[in-house]
Amino acid sequence: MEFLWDGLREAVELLAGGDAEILRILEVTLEVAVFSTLLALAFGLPAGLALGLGRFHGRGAGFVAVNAGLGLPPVVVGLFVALLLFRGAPLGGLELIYTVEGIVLAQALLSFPIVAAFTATAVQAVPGALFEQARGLGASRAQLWLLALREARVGVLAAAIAALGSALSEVGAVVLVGGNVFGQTQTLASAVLAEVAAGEYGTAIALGIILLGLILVLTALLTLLQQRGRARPGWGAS
Amino acid sequence: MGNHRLLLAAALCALALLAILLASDDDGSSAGGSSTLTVQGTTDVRDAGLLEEVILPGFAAAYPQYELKYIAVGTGEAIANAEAGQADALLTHAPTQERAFVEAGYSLEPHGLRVFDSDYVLAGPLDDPAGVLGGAPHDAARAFELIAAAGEAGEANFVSRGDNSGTNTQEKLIWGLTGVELNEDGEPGPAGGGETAEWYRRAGLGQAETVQLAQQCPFPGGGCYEMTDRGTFERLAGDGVVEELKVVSQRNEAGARGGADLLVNRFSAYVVNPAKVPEVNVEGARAFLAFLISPRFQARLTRFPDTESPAFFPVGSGP
Repeated sequence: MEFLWDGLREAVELLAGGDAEILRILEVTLEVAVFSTLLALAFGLPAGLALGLGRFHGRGAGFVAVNAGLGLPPVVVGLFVALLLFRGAPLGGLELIYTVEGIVLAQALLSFPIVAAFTATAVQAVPGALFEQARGLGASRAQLWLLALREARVGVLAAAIAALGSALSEVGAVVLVGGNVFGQTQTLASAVLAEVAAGEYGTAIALGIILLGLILVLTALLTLLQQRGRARPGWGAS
Repeated sequence: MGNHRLLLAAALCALALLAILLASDDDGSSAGGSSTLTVQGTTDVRDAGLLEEVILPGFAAAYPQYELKYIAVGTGEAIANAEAGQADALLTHAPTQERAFVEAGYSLEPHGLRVFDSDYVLAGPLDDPAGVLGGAPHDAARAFELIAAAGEAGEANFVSRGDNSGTNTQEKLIWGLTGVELNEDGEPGPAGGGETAEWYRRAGLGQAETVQLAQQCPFPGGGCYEMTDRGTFERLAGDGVVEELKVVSQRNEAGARGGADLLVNRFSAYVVNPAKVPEVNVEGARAFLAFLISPRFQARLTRFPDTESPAFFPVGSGP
């Protein structure tokens, strides 16, 4: 119990003191979370739309693939990405090994199936009659897809929340691809790992508390966005 | 309401576009790799605080043209990564593994540069069920035999790093000096197989985590012993993290098996051979080695973390 109190105190001190190291760790954490989520959205939304609404050969296999991707082991993805990015490896020329950009890439691969699978399921639930109507009014395919995203926005934002949460809490891929380099590629989660390895439980708890706070704040913002305009009558209302 | 949804859709599209823009932007900013210096090195240096407090600031001040990336991993992984071309320099502490690295041609020089030492200690429970403190306070091989005997009697356990780290390598070297039956991996266990003795526990954890595991000792019979780095042990004990373990054997006697150097933990640095792996920053690696043996850095070692119980010793001064 003493550890927890000390950790909480240290967390407050680190944040209040504007500690340069903690600011750098926060910066890396946010970069990884935001950019990987945006990348995953950029590719996952179209993929999810295609899987949910499209009619093409291999759609079933694609659906299985993204659903299986929900259980993708980060440490295995990290291993493959790291080996591909090693100097002299096929993608070594990108010079992404042990960089924040490399971590973003690995994390985007992990978040992509989350976005695609959630989006596909969400747009599937949009009533087909709506599309018939829109098509009758002369809507283009792009307009239909936008309509689907709009109608399924609660589910789509759930996808974004899940992707962001996964990026904030990931360590396996972060350490293997980023190297957990002090002051350069450490995220809050991977810094916790390093502090525990060094037996610095107080600092580890402090960093853990800061990470939990960050997840809560970011998730709250997205949830507000998700639940806006949802003032419909619920089950209990008349 | 309609406006709302449109805005949301527009925002999502904008985010997607932004992502693509930022992603391409990021790739550009990571260029300029020649000034990056990647060192694969032992975790002990990071875990003891030496990396963060002395090496990083000192090297940045002496050689501002290089951006030092220290990848802290176990010695086995560090060497494997270096052989896979992931390092300009190597900082490790497992002479037997390093010899293979040099013989395979991965080192630019035919031998490593000894940069500093620390020493290993054998830690055990306060009640010392194997009687190591009384029976072998300065004889690690004898101490291992006492622990093995107590282990066979179900009264003690030995917790190993089990991860091919420098500490693990030295530990196996000591088992090799004992009369204890060893398996084909050089660990206590039935000869000829990969199985280990009931009381021999492989952790697969870092230095400090393994000390913690030994203290918690979640194994039948209890009484966990462990070989660890003195700096790590003293720091954990000083922080109050480790209270139920004490040093039971240390500073090997010259007359004991393995001699006085058996518990000396030698750290050596290597420049990776550019003829073996692509794109080695040889100049940066040489600068790193020069920094480690510079009088200024070597003098600083005697004061880290304090003069009374330094975690590392300058070359040749010994513990």
